[in-house]
Amino acid sequence: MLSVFQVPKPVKAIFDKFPLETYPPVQKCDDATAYKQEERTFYLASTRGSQQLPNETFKLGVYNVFEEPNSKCILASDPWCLFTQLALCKKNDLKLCSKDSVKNASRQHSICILSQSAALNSRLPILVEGSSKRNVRSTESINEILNSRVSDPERIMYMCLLDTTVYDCWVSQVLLRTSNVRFLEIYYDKPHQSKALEKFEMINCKVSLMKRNNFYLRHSEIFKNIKSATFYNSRNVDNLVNSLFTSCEKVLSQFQELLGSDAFFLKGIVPTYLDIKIASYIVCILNLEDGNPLHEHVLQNCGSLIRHAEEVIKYFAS
Amino acid sequence: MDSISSDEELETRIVSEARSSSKQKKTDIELKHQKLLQDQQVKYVTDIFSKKSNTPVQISSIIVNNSQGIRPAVLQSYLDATIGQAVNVKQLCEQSDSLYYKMVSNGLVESLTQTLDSRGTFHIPISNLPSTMIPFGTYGKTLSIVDIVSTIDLHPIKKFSAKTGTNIGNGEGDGYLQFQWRNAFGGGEKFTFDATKGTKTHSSYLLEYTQPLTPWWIWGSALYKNSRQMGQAELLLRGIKISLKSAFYKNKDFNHEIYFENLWRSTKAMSTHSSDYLLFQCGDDLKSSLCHTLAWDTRDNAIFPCEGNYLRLSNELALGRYWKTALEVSKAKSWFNNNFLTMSTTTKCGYIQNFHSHTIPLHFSDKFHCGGSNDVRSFQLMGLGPKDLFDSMGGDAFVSYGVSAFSRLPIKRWEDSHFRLHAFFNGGRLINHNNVSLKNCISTLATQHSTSTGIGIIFAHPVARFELNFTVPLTAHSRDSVRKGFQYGIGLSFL
Repeated sequence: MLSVFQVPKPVKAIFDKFPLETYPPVQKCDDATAYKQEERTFYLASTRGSQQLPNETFKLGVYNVFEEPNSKCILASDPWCLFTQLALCKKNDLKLCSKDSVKNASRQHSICILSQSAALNSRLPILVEGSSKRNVRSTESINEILNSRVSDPERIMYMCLLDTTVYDCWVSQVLLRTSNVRFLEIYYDKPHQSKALEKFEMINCKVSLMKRNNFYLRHSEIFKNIKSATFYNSRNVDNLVNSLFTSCEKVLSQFQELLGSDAFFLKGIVPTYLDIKIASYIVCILNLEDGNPLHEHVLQNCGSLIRHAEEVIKYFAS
Repeated sequence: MDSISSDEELETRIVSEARSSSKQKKTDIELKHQKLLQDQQVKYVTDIFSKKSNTPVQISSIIVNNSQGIRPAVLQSYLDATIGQAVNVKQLCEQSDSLYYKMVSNGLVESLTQTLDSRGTFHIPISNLPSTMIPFGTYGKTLSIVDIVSTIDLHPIKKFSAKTGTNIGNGEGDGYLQFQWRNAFGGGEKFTFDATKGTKTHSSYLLEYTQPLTPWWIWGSALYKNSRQMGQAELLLRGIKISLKSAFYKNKDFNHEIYFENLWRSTKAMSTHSSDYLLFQCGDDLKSSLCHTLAWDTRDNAIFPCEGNYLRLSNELALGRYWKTALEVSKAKSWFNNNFLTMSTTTKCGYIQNFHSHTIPLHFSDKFHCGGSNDVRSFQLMGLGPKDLFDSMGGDAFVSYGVSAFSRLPIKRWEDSHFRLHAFFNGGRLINHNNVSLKNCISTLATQHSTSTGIGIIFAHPVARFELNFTVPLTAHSRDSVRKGFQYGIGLSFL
């Protein structure tokens, strides 16, 4: 039935003739843009060999990367980003690349250094899926998917414990017990153009980092302290950070006990998501600067966890 | 009895109708008579001025009333720069206009009225004049000079003003608040605070101070914060701008603006379908740039010109980054009675040279963007040029042009209204030249233009121009964002 709003077919036919001539798309090649993208992209090696369709590839957006000294692999500098990186490697049978091999890897899946502003909620990691059919997944959405892959309640409980106690300690340490230079190396990649701008950017970055995983709700005093920069200095902050550190120490020693002399947790033969999660925290803690209390503690008291983390990275290294 | 009364009524009505129609006619005749008299007076005065335009004059004294709000030195500088320069009747008239224009536009007064009186003439020997001004064969004679006394009544400006309001249109809306403190220290100094919150411009705050340094040059400094949507990204700009601009009579001289801008820019992705290009553009950056704009404007109206030319050349040097130049040329001409038919043409072009063309990409907001109802019609805003997925990347070289024909409505009743019929042809090309030679760049720009045509109606309101067009693209690139059918536009400048 013909609707009033329906365009009559003859009119539509005439209309469809426009444009009378269609040229190919305007070339988008830009050397500088290509250089910048290449500089910030690190490809992951596929073990499957077969080429995947462009819309089946992904890019993982992370804050920054570093070279792990033992395996020489390029790893994300933030524990949640690293967990996602390793989890994606596990799911897609991918291998981590070193700086030398990264450029020779098949150019399909990759991790990219992005600004936190690339995410709708200013939190990384983000997962950019597809090429022409694009979907950008948020940190929360990635977590939801990855957590849904774990069905064992015991493992779920351990992962939740890590994502609260150890996570809170990690965040408090990078916010308050890490030098600005190191913080920027972990959560910011660009060379800094001005000291004043650097300070503003760092505060923005710290604020959005605190909003991830609801840290700011659990520790509002620390949040207020950071957000107001120099205007509000709570004397309780030191006590709060120390208390988080003590809890974290306890949890890490409990995980050491749980691991015992096994290669992986809960008698696993290959790394599970729980192994990946613990390893992500340990690797990132070891990447903190010398003198950081958490770094020193792990180095001195968590030998088994360090060995475990090395095993996990070795498993995914090409 | 009844028939007699109805006849009387009819007669009364006929008489009153006749009287009222004769009254109407009388009023029309009176109006025509007044207009004729006025025209005669204007013609008489114009004749006198044209005949006596070269008559030498000298302003022997100027009486200024209500000058309390202006510093004496400032007032003196305006009088010296304008009517103080006049040496004949023609110049006196022009400089009187200049005085009015400058004092009002520089915010010293709301308006002013000037009365010119004469105290007769006086004679000076021609030999007293500078030798270059002495006409041949007049040596030894005397020159009659009209002695002028100027009386100026100033109408002081309202120092404080506050405005609030809302703007709604094209699926967008905003609310604004504006405070102004004008003529703050008696020299035309102006403080402005603007705050806007809306859908397209998410928020905008501006604190501005302007001060005329001389009647012709204005100093300005502004501090601003602005958040707006650009494509699928949100741009948060915070910056300072320091400028020096000329305000010469626009019909005669070129006007310049030189400014230095320091900008802190944050780019944020606003979509879950962002392209790689946009994702890598996100983040903060700093830009310092030095800009110069040259403009020559002889148009009778900037929003809807019927006659005149416009030229604008702008250059921007972003320190350590790029050099950007853009040229806009426009011409309007009208024919027939009351500018019945008007033709307008505009051509724009631009080029950016990136100083680090292989390593540091340009920010997409620094690039050129084409398309939209105010630009190349029949294409979406930022609809032309290179694209990455759905995001416009902008280009570093472009050309766009438009030819428009306007006609008043061919119905006598609406002939004098602000409405015009409109037909147009637009075209343009936006590219990433990617460091090819200028010759190759020009040859690329010269081919494969996206073009469109259409007809519509426009409303040329003094504040802004409104357009409703029916448009079709004639040629387009496969990734261009085309808009077929009706397109609505509102703005101050159109292609």
